[in-house]
Amino acid sequence: MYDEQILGLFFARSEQALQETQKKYGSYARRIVENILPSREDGEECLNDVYLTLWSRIPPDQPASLKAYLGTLARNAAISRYRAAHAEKRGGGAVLSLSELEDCVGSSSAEERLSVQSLTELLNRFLGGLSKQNRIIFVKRYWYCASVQQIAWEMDCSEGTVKMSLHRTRKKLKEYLKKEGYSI
Amino acid sequence: MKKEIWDAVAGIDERYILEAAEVQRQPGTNKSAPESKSEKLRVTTRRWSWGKVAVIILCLGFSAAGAALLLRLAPWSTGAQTPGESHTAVSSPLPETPSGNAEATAPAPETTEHINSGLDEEIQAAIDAHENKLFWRVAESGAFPEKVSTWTWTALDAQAFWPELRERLFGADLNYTPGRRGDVDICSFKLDGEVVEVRIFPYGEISFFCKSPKRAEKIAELLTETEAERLGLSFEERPEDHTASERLVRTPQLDGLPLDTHYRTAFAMGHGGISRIVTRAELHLPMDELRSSGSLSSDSLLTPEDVEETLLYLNVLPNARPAKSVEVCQSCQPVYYADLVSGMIRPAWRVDGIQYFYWDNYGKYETHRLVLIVDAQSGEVFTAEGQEN
Repeated sequence: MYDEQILGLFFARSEQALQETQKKYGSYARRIVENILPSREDGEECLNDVYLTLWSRIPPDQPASLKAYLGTLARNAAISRYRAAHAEKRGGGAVLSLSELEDCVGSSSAEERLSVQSLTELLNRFLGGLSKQNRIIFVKRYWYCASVQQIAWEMDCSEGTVKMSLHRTRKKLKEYLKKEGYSI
Repeated sequence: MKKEIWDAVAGIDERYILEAAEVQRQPGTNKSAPESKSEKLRVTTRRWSWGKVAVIILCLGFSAAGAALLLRLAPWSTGAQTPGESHTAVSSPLPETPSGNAEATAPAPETTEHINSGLDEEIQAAIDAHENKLFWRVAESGAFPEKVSTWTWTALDAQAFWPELRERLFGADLNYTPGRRGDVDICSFKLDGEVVEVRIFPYGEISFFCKSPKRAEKIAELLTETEAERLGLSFEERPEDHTASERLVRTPQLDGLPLDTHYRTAFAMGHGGISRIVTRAELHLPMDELRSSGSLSSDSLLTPEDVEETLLYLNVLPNARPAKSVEVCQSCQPVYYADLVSGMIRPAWRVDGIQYFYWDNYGKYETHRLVLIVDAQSGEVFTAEGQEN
């Protein structure tokens, strides 16, 4: 079923919309959640929350891409749940992968910091200038929170290649942000 | 904790997210999926050992050339590949979503990628060869009823309809600016101190925009009362279990076929959509306002094969920009469609598909979604809408 048909079901408030979404993108959402939440039980609860949120937001939202929209909801829900459960702890896939990026932004003062929106814009512009392979590796690691091993398998390359790509990309990002005026 | 970068990563552009999601392992590789933790541990341990060996060798003062040679021979370096090698196979660019808002997420033109087995070889070959072809991949198509009618939509004359509604629902407190036929009429009125915006769309849909769910309920009640009198308006209510929005809608059908208003509806959504939260009450004009102006038997209607010939004759798209393109039609369904120029509502075929077209001779192409509405009797193309994918 096309996304427009699924969205039509959402707008008609038919519960079949959720069934069709799960059928088409269920495994995609599950993979994102499982990358971040190792517990199967947590993952199931999180996915239920995701579909409930989806049901409540469409309408009025009319996402241009249902897949990306669902993926964003799944990621946000999983990270929120992870943060809530590990408020005092460190470690774990999501935190570990994101903490790698923290060095890119350094510790600037409040005045020197760019707004999140500006930083997002810079990041997207930076990603647009990367080679496709490096961009995919970067997004898989830091947006999907996939492990290096998983990325290497999906990209059919060695873990060293993935790590080197991430290292170089982080370095480039740091330089790019510095050049754009983001205090390091 | 630098939370900004976390939030910035969360805002990565959708096209990059989808791009990464589409990368899949090519079939036929022997390497198994990294599932077990023990396997992961084993790999890590082995590689740590090799790393230690390399460090020791370097510390012992081997010459740079010798170390480089050893490093090149080390097993972890053998997997390194040049970015852009064939393992970055991208799944079929066939759209998974015909998104409603083109400018929102339309990605930049893509260079030619290898397309996976989702498309058969013939289509792939045509794309690679930059041929100008039309392919049909219609698994099943609907059929028209034995007899279908053509209709005029008298209620499209909003001026005849609106004063009655105004008097019954809102009294004189109405700021109404009628638009031309084919345009959207917009007016507003105050209800319990809140401004409610009303939009009348030329295909017969009326949308009420207000911020409060209670106001929407009140409007719904007023419309229900009006319906009970004599305007003949009707709608069905589908309450939602959240407070952000409430939508009341009646989806029209004629002769059991849907009245295709999808893209018009999407247009309407665009005005209220994400940018501002609205509470929506939609109302479709009743079907008894429609008057049949004649009927057609199935013999006088085009078959899907006729539609195919029509599209071939038209070289698929009348407004196709490039000279060469490959089109893959994926579904063909009978609908009614409002021809806004003539004011007629006629049976038509809705053809959905995907178009690959070429911008130049350097191997670049773009993909667009196609929605074609073809008159079921004359074969005339009512409308063709493309959307960057």
